[in-house]
Amino acid sequence: MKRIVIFVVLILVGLAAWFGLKEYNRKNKDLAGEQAALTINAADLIAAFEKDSASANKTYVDKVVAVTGRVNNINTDGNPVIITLGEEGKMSTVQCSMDSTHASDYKSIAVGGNAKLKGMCTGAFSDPMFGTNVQLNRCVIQK
Amino acid sequence: MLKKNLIALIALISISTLSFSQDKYFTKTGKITFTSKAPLEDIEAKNKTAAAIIDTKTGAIQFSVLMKGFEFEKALMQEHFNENYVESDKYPKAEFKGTVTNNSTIDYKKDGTYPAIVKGQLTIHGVTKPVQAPGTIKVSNGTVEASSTFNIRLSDYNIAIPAVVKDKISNNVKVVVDIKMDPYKG
Repeated sequence: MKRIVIFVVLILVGLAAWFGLKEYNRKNKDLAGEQAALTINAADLIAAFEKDSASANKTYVDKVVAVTGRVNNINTDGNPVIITLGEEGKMSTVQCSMDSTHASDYKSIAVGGNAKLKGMCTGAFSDPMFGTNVQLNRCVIQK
Repeated sequence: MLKKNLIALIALISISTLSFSQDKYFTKTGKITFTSKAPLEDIEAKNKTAAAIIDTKTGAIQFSVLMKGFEFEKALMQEHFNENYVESDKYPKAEFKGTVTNNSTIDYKKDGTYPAIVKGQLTIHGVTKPVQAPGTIKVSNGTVEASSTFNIRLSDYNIAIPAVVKDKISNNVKVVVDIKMDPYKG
């Protein structure tokens, strides 16, 4: 009886350690396989934050959002690659920080073309000089 | 006479606004990294979407960054950072506003790397504290790159470390700022 108890305890300790280690080392989820909770075009997403940032925060922040729009800029200076969606000549944009495991995916799109990017919305900042900029993290390009 | 004065005034205003706008440099892809030395491993988080602007005439410099935009290698750390430490739902932004104290010694029209001292107010977790840090300002090809490395104490910003992990997470965090700015066309 005693041996069984020891055996069970050992298994439980082992399981807890395994789970703890796994949880500790857990990486951020690759969003490529995730279904977007919301799909919207860049101009509408910017407008939502401009109109009512509190309600836009509730709707979009911490959600997987797929955004379509014109590629304004691709910044490959260091990690992560930043892809900016927005209308030509407009200050307000959607800034997508690419998932580093999909770092070279930007090669499939070009400035001036259209793209659909999926990422975790982290919020937006508005400033009279910078416009409204909605930010997405861990982005992947959706084909 | 009045007309002449008016024209002169308009000309003056337009010249001053023109030079005013050319004095400003900005970016929306500034890099901010912080590291915390821990016994098991160093914790590092990166953000490359900081917004920054410098007025080369006055030396006024400011940047802001969304806390949720910091990426950690480990998901658990990122979650703890946002939920327990900086409470990013409540305090979504970190902000710095200050000036380059030796601005007059920097020639923004001549390529080169200039030592700089930046002094100002840093707001994290809703707490504003004065900071002063040495750094460099690099002028090259019409861009202005400001870099600085400095240390902050989490306790200064009312960021509490839970007792269970107190010996695993350092109160001292190294912040590296690297912002490359282009001319601002406002």
